[in-house]
Amino acid sequence: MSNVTAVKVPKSMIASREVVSTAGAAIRVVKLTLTSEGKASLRSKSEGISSLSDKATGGKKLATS
Amino acid sequence: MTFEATTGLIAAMHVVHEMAARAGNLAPADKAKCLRATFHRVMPPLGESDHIEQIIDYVGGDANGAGRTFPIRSGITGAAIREDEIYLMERESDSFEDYKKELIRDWHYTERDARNATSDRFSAIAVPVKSKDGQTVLGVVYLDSNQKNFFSPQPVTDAVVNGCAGIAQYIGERYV
Repeated sequence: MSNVTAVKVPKSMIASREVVSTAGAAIRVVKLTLTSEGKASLRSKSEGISSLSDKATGGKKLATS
Repeated sequence: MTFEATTGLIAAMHVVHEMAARAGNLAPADKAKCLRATFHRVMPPLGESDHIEQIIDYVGGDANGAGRTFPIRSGITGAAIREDEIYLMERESDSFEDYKKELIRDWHYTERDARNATSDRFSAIAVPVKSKDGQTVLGVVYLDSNQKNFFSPQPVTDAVVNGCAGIAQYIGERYV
């Protein structure tokens, strides 16, 4: 009997890649567009964060400047 | 800013660093010097801010950098926040002078910012993290490497993006 177990590889959350820098430039820059699943995954549960206040310290702000 | 307020974020960044290092086949002895990871928050008021702040030291490298601020108009971190897209940088030239000139000409760096750029960074990736309603970018996860094209292979890019999804979840649990 085989001991090999199939492992499901997560589907990539990247939909496309686009080079946005000019040809021959010293810095090549690529913009990656996410799938709708990817966009949803990079949303935090936080809403309207104005100062990254810290829940664990009773709303103490990290910094306000 | 207190150390306690960011220790969880540092731990989360260690996970992303490790995921990227393994996907990129970095030897354990090399990963600290080859790869750095950190988080920049958009400074308040969100939606009107023109600066980001590095709120934790780099994981990897010399483990420094917390407290530095950067204009949102410059570099791939700024582009990632302004356009809400992931940006990947691959330095083609070995010349640090050419690199600095292009940072100033095309990526809106000041001369001082370009002078302070780390000379041995050859690739980088910036991943924006958004608010619950998807309307506001809260910050950006930034990783860079002294290896050319480190983040370009699909397994590395996927590892970084998947790890950043965890960062987004953590920020939602920890911060308001």
